[in-house]
Amino acid sequence: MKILLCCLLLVFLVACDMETFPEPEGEELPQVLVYSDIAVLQPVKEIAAIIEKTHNCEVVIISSNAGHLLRTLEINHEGDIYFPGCSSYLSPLLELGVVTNMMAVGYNIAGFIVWPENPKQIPAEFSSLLNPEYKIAIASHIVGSIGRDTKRALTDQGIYSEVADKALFLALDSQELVDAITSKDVDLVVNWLSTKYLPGNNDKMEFLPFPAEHQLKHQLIMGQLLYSKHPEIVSAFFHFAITPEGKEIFRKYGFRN
Amino acid sequence: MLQGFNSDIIRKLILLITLFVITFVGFHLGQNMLQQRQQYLHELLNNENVRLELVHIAQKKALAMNMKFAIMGNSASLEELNFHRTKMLSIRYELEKVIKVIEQGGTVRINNLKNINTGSAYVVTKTYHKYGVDRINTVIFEFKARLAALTDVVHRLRSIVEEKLVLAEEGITQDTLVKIVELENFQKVSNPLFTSILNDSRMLLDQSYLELARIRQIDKDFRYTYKKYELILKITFFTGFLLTAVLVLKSSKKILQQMVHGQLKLDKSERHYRRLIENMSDIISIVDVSGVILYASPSIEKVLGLQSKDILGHNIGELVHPDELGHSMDLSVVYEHQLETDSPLEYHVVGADGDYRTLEVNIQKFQNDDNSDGFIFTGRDISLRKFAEEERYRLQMVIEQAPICVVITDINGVIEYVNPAFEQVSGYSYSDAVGQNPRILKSNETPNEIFTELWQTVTAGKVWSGEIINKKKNGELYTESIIVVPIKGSNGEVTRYAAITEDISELIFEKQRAECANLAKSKFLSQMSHELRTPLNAINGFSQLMLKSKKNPLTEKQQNMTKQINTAGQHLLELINEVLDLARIEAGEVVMSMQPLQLSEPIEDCMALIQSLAEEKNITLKNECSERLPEVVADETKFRQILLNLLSNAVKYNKSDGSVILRTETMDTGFLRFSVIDDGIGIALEKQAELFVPFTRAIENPDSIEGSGIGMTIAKQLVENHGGEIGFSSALNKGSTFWFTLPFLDKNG
Repeated sequence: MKILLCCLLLVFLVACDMETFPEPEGEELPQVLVYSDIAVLQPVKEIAAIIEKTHNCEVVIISSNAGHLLRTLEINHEGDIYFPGCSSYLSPLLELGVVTNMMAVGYNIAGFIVWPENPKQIPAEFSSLLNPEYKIAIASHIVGSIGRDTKRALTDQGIYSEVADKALFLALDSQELVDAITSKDVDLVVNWLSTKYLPGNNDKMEFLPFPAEHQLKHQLIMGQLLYSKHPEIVSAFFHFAITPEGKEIFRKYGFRN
Repeated sequence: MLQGFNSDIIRKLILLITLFVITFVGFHLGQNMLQQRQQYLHELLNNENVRLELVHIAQKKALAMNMKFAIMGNSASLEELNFHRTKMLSIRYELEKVIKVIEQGGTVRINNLKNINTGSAYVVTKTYHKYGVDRINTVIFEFKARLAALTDVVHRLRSIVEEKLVLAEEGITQDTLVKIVELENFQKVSNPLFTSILNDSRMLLDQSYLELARIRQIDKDFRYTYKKYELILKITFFTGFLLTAVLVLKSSKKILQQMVHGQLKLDKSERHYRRLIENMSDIISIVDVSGVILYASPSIEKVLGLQSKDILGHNIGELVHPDELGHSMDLSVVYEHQLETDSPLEYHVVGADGDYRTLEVNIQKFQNDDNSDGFIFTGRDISLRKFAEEERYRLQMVIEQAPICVVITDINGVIEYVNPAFEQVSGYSYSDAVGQNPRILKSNETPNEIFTELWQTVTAGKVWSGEIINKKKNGELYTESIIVVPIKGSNGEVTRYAAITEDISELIFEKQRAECANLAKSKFLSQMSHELRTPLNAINGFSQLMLKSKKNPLTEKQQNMTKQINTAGQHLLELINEVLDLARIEAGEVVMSMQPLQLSEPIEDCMALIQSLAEEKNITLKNECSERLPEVVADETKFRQILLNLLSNAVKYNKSDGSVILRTETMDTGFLRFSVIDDGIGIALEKQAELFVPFTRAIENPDSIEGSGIGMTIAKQLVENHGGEIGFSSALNKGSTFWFTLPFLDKNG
């Protein structure tokens, strides 16, 4: 009789196993929000995956151009890390005290991007952007770091307006420029070297550096935001980025450190 | 037992009902839980549908903004421009409200919606509940950022359009064209923003669809899983219920069988114990706390002669001797006393015949079913045992207090017990002697052959007796007369030895002294007899010569006087001869000439010699000896002397007209027994012990019959010198029978 009751109780307990009925509300892992420039998305994703494992958290990444990211964090007042492709986006945030801590992790280099092996033999010169034989595209200076730096470089050369007029379109970010080259919609774009190192891009484009006297090099700096709810994870993120392993990840994607 | 059965069944039924109630309540609760959860999931689905509608609205608003943006660029006047701008900002405002509700939950009232069919405007109020944990929605984050960016974009567009309209109105064609190009470029640059906004709205839509699908899947999984477990539970509980019911029935049946079996077993057990108690020799009695007898085993009749039914209801104190308890017993006190002494009690209990028996009583306390105390008396008749114990005590006292020494050894000769006399004689204390071998007394003065004979005898289970010279603890030697008796166990085997010893050192010393004195006396007598006989022979010889002398015949008076001298001399000579014989015998100077002897002639000669004496008293002599007597080994002269002595005594101490009969009898022991039977005066009982004592007469008036009193002493000595025995039986005035035995010759061996 006792055995029978025990069996029944066991069946009852098994039936009452709450794991059988998952709650619709989902899990409650701590979330870290990273505003990542599209240019540095790949290394950020790799580091985020490592941090997620080591700190049992979820790293949510908003990836876009630096301007949009800046606006997004300003509007939402949320997030832990802001990582623009151009460090100039950090300045206003530093002044406002929204960025409370920073960590430099390397450099990003801009240049000309053409088709693989440069079949049209496009010279690595700014004048190529005005050559009517080449279809070109540049990034909009309104929203992105590559757009902002492109405008500055072309303005220095005195050809920005002409180039903007000639451009087939103004891209929101570097990814749209990548898409334009790989789809061969255009023959020439101004973009980051790192875009060539994005998965699947290496054999689909060729990087031609700016002339040495006009080399465009931007320091990559991550900023810890005032709104951060998990500063310990942010700190871990920062420190990992400057470890040899973290540096190797950045180098792998075409950054220098 | 029936009560036990009922309680067990009731317990199982309660369990069954409990199981049923648990099952019923469990299913009821389960159904409620299912309904509540399904309702919850349904609400979630409705909520998500609201979100979906809100996302749709957001999408419509985004499209509307995009259209307004394009329209703004084509505005033909400033009024139109401001109108579209205001409209667009209004749309943006509503879109922000919608996005806020989607993000945080809440109620939103949306204006300016148009019915597709009728084209009329309507207002919608939607309420969305934010549920679950607060998770980051990056789409909304970016959506909001883009809406914020839209403000600048709209502001810039408005500036360019205003400048274009002003220039166009002023008729400055070239500048107007430049503005138009700028406007086109701006719109081209701004298009990706609207594209992103539309993408965001589409992504929100995708989120809602995914969430809807997820919740539907959870609902589906839940219902499926619940139905599955509900089925399993139903089957399990139904099976369990049935099994329990079957078990209850089976166990009830089993219990019933066990109860019947148990009852039979109990009956059997009771019969068994009743038989046991009724056949016990001990008395078993149950009494209540006041001493009233409730039960008495039938053995009480055997022990006390009382019928058990007759004493039921009586107080047990009535049976006990008044001197011990009186007529009432406080059993608790008696019980406690027994516990304190830790030994059974003894009472003298009266039987039916009024005699008292000694009972050994054990009392045990127990509790009745009603928790009252009761007592079980176990009584054993130990009267015989007590008697035996007393007897043994007496014997023990005899041994303890006897002047003779008692030594008990085990089969190996190790001393187990010595009595105080032993301690006194040997000087060894009890503790000195016990555990030792009797060799501690050995003096080396006794030949080893004696000890060998002793052990051979006793180990053969026979009694050995003899004398041994031992040594005391202080080294002094002493002679002991010892009888060693093997003590046999119940199975006939010798288990130990008992030695009864007596210190005869003094006795031997006295005997030796007496023997020396006797020897001296015999020598004296022998010498004196010789010295007496020489002159007496002269007297007798010369008196006979005087009587027979014809040359000098005596006068009659002289003859009479000489006859008296001769008669007295003869008597004196006989007396001296007898004394001399006795002296020789006692001195060990008698030489026995043992040889095979035909008895008929010596017997006839003796009968003839006595015949004349018998005739004087008119006594009849009868020879009833067998005609074929065996030869005996004897000294003929001594045989004749023995037989003549007995025959002459039989005649001498007979009455007139009496009779004397001589008989022989062959005995199995190898002896021939001679009996001389007379019907004479007999011997008084008190005189019989002195018969063989020298110089004593066993008759009342010794002077009436002539005799020296040493004839029987000589006869005894002579018989014993032949290896035979002599004895008699006699009754005063009825006659006597004297007998003696001689070994006859065994021709076969």
